[in-house]
Amino acid sequence: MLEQIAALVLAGVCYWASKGVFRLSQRHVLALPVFVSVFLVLCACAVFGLNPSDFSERIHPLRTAMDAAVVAMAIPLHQVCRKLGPLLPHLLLGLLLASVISVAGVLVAGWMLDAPWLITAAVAPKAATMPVALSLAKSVGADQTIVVTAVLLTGVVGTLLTPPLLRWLGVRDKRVQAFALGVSAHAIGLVRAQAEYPDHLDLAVAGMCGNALVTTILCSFLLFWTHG
Amino acid sequence: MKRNFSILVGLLALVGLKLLGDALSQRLGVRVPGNFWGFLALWVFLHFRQVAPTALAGASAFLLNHLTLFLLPSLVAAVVGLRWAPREMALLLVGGLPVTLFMAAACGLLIATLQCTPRKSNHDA
Repeated sequence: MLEQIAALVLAGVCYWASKGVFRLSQRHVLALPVFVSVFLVLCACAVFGLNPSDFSERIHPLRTAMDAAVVAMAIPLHQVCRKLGPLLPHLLLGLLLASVISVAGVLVAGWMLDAPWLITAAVAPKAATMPVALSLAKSVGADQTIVVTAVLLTGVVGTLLTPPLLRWLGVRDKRVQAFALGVSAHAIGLVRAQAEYPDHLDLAVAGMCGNALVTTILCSFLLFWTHG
Repeated sequence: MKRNFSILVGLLALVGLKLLGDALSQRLGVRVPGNFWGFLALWVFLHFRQVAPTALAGASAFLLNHLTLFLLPSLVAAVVGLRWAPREMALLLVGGLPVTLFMAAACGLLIATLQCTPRKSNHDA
């Protein structure tokens, strides 16, 4: 019990330190707390002689909060949808197309590369935000290492390349760029959206939460049921 | 103190919705995560109520502001178990690069095209 409390405190300290690093870096995408906090935890484990796997098990109660956070996403999404008005149907269609391409693209790639189904199932929810992708992977017994790598890779690629790609394709509307950034790069993309489109941050949030919702439906009913 | 209590009530409500979702998934025998059903139930509730109760709004802001902290167990476990097999690597690269760029481009282009269409027809009229 005492060890569990100590592990939770250590996790909290690493998390707050990573937030400080992020502020000091002037919100650089590579200094995101999601990267720095893990690095600090691994450093702390090395310094205190802890096994990171045991440490991860001891801070397991935090996962309950992660599941609650997925439920909580309904609130910002609902608030944004009320404000969107006539733009909403266009955004919904764009979101549906993006989610279908994301899930179907991985399925086709997995089939072409002859990847085992569990690996394909782990990569398929890559464009959903981390807690959603992990919940989906857990429900089919997919490897969470692959899920985390796929989600982080998608987030970084989407964050770095979506805005220049859209500008190159002639999409100048910043509202559309912010929304597409949220859809393609989930929570990591929100950091760039905060810096580049501060007036349209709510659209990036809507993109992220909406994609999490649609990806869950697609993965649950197309991928997992067909191989259930 | 009152605000913290309100957040605590909101957190309990969110965890309750997640547990209800788990029970529903088990009952229906589907592999949908319980938090998805909780999300849908909260969405429907907000649709009828229009404004989120203070406790739920406070708990939601707290959870989403500190999401990284709650992801730490999964992130650490994933990094510790990291290994690179060729087939996994290939699928990760294809899924991470071309598929992500294609979905972003398709999303942006479709919305931009849909936004332009009514303006053109109004102009023609």
